[in-house]
Amino acid sequence: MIARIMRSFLILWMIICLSGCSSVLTYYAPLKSKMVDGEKRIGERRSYEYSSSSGHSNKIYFEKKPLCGESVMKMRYAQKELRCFSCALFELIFYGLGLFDMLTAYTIVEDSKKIEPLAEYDTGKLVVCGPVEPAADEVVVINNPKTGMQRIATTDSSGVIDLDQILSDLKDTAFLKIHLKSDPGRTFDYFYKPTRQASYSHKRE
Amino acid sequence: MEKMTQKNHTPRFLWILFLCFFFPVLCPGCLVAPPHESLQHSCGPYPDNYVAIVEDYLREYLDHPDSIKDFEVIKKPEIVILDTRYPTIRLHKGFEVWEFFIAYDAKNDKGNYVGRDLHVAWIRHNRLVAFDYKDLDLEYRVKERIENPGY
Repeated sequence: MIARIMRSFLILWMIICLSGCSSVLTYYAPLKSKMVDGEKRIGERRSYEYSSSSGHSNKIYFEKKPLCGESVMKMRYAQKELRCFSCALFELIFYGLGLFDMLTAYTIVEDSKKIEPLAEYDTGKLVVCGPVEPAADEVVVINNPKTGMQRIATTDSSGVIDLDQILSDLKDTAFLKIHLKSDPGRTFDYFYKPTRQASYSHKRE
Repeated sequence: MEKMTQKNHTPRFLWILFLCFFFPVLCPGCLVAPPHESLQHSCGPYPDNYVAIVEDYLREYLDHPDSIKDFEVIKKPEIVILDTRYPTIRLHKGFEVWEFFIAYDAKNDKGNYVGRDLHVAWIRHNRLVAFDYKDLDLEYRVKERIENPGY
């Protein structure tokens, strides 16, 4: 009696296993869509990122890096959801048919994969899109907050300004605030000490 | 004679069972019809106020709705026929939706800007039905239904 029940149960289970629960349910599942970023593209140049460095001779070097806008192609990524995967695992215990079911289900998911482009949009990010180059012919504003003095200078073809030339009339040291006219947000402090005075004081010593 | 009486009583018993259990279950389904628009394949008229509709949704959906910046319509509404069913949104394959794309940047729950991103919105019968292929919050849907009963 028990043997007959067991045999009936195993035959029934084999039929269920052969039906491929996971495969069938996955096959009839709808596509599930999500949005993914596709290829990134660098657009036209929008602005520059400026940097400056100074040596011992009161010369300031200005450099600039070109910045371009970044755009991304948004894609729709759709594929069927893997369903009832645990059923296939359970089928595996009995006859090993679960392996076939799992493979079929995975194949169905892979076959259903659909990637289609939606639109390209600007991410609003700026990325460096070229080599660093000297900031030539840029207008530089030099301020002395203590005295209220303001001087305007222009960088040469190498992106250099010589403060000794621009402030030749200034005999004493001064704390200067310097910025590029095209980049007023990036102001830096500079402690100016006339080179001639420095050498002169050195001689006196 | 007794047997005859029993045989006659059985069908009547089944009818009583049907009326007691099945009829109350089936009846509401027949009387309370689902909204008319959700059964239509067409997506209704062109949504002229689609920007207002999506802005209204973003006010409910975002943590910091006032922080929205660089808002831009990337694609104006166009009719798209669905290639699959969306059970959670209650949309079926072959249904039409007005699809449009927007891009914006906004602050997350921690107060940081997450970066400008593109979003897909679907409108049917002047009602936003999906955002980024997902169902809308129940709270918003209830509020929207009260304000705009539709059909």
